[in-house]
Formats: sequence, C-alpha cells, structure tokens
Amino acid sequence: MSWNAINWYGQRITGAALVLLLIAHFWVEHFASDQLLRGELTYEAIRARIASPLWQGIDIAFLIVALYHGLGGLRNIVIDHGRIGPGAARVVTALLIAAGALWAWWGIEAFQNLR
Amino acid sequence: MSSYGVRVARNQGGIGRGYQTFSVELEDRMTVLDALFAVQRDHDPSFTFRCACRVGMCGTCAVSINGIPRLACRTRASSLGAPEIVVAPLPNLPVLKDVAVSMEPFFEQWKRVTPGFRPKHPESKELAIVPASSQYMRMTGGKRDCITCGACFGACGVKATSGEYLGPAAINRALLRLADPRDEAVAPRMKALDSERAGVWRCHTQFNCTAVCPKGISLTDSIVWLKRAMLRRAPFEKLP
Repeated sequence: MSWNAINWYGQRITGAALVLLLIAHFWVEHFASDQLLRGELTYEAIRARIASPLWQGIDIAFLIVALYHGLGGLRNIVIDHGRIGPGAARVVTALLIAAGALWAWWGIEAFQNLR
Repeated sequence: MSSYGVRVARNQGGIGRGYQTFSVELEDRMTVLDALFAVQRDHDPSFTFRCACRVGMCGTCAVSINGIPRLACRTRASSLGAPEIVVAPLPNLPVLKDVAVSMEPFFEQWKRVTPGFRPKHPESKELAIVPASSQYMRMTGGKRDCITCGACFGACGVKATSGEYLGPAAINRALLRLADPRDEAVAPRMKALDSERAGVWRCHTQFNCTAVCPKGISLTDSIVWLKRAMLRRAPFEKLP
C-alpha cells in the first residue's frame, strides 16, 4: 500500500473515530454527571476525572486523532485550492507536521501539570 | 412551436465577450443543438459550436446548458422547463471560440493512463476471447460506453482547481484496462493513478461526474473501485 493510500485511509479512519469521540466528549462534558447538570462543575471534579490513566488515554487519542484529521484536511484544501507546485506542497506538509507535533506535545504536556 | 430565448456565450481568441441572446422558434421535440443551428442560420453565421453525429454517439457537442454539462444533441429544449436556454462552453477546458472548447487538456490526461490495449501475449495468434458471461464483462458492462465527450471533466469540482488531476473519464478508462484479463500494462497505470496530486486520491466523491455523464456511467464508482484496489497489498486483481 502506498503512502498516498495510507494517508487517504487514515483520513477515513480518523473521521469515523472523531464521530464516536465527539459524541462521547459532548456526553461526558455536558450530561454525564448530576454535578454537571446542576451547573456545579468545579476544577477539582475535572482534575479528578482526567487524573485517571483511562481518561488521559482517551483524551490524548482524541487530541491526536483530531490533529491528524484536521491538519490532513487543511493540507488537502491547500493542495486542492492553493494552485501550488510540488515543492511548495512539501513545505506546507512539513509545516503542518511540525505544527501538529508541537500541538500534540503541548496537549499531552498539560496532563503532567495537573495541580 | 415554442419561442425560446437562447443566451449564448461569445468568445473570440480566448477573450470572453459576455453573452448574447437570440430568439428562436423550436418544435416540441427539438434539441438545444437545433437551437444552436437556428442561431447560426438565422441570426449570426459566425456563431461557433461543435457537433458531429447529432445522435449522442460522438460526444462532440458537449456544452454547458443552463449550468450543467450535457450533450446539446440529446437535450430537448422543452425538457429544460425554462423559456431561456443558456449555453456556455464546457468548464475546465480552454475556449477556442464562442462555445467551442479545445479538448487537448482532456486527452493529455487521457494519455497519461496508457489508455490503449497492451496485450499480455502480443505474438500470440490465438484469439483472446472474453466471454460475455465472464466477471470482467459483467462488472464493467456499464462502464465501457464512454464517448469522451468531456462532460465529466467539465463538471468535476476537483478538476476546476487542479490542472494536474486526471479527471473521471481517464480514471474510468484506466480501470477498464486494468481489470481486463487480456491486458498487461498494470504498473504504468497504477503509477499514474496513485499520484497524490493527479490520481484517484484527489477525488472527493462529489458525484458531479456521475450526475452529468450522458451515457449513465457511474464514474465515481470506478474511482472508488480503484481506491479500494489500491488499499490492498496485492497488485491489481484482474477480473476473470
């Protein structure tokens, strides 16, 4: 399978994963507990949840999947509409990978700083 | 007889000169091609369009009619349901004059997929028979009628932004040759089709090509078929 095929398939897989993760995200963030429904959400409650390795795993997976899908989609738009040559497209790809890696590191790093 | 306003694009030497409207009388069963002939015969002999067979076999008269690429000879004026018929050149192709376009970019992409038959055994004197009951004939039956009219090329949203994209007709042609059990040129076609900027991966499954194909070919299905084949590790599987 070529890289182009893997990349195309990756967009579909992450797109499907995002549907499930987004539904779960909205449910957990807005409806999952009485505390939330009463409007008494506190920092401590959120910290307690995301201190769990399971939730950290889900949130980091969400972050990586969203970054892959979003930045991959942005790259597609640039290639489709940018009327740029192959050299410029490679620069765009490199910049987006760098931005994605930085963004992912920033998000993952946040879990280390829970107080 | 019904009266129609035929609004045609005028273009000279690659420079658009807007639209001009002519009043034309048409019988109920008359086509947009008849309307174009009426404009040329009764109003302006310099008005330029292309046609050849007049029966939907050659694909020469493809133009944009009321915003949709179609064959002028297969589009009845009464079927449009409008008193005005707007005729413009096919999008995504350079205009030669008025509504006549150059098909050169279309056939440049066509050539890139090695469209001709490349036999596995060119020296063989045996007839390479593909029975009508074979899987190849059954699965490609609806895909072999392309008349290279360029309607799909003109309707394709991806083609509108990418000069490099092969376009639906060329990809469909490649699929037919790839699936053909008698043909051997797999590698050069797969290389062209796997290109990120020109190949099947650029298609966004908009179905515009399928919607406008005058032969009813499901071109989007052909593209998706190739994408599925390329996701497998094995080389392209010939149909028996």
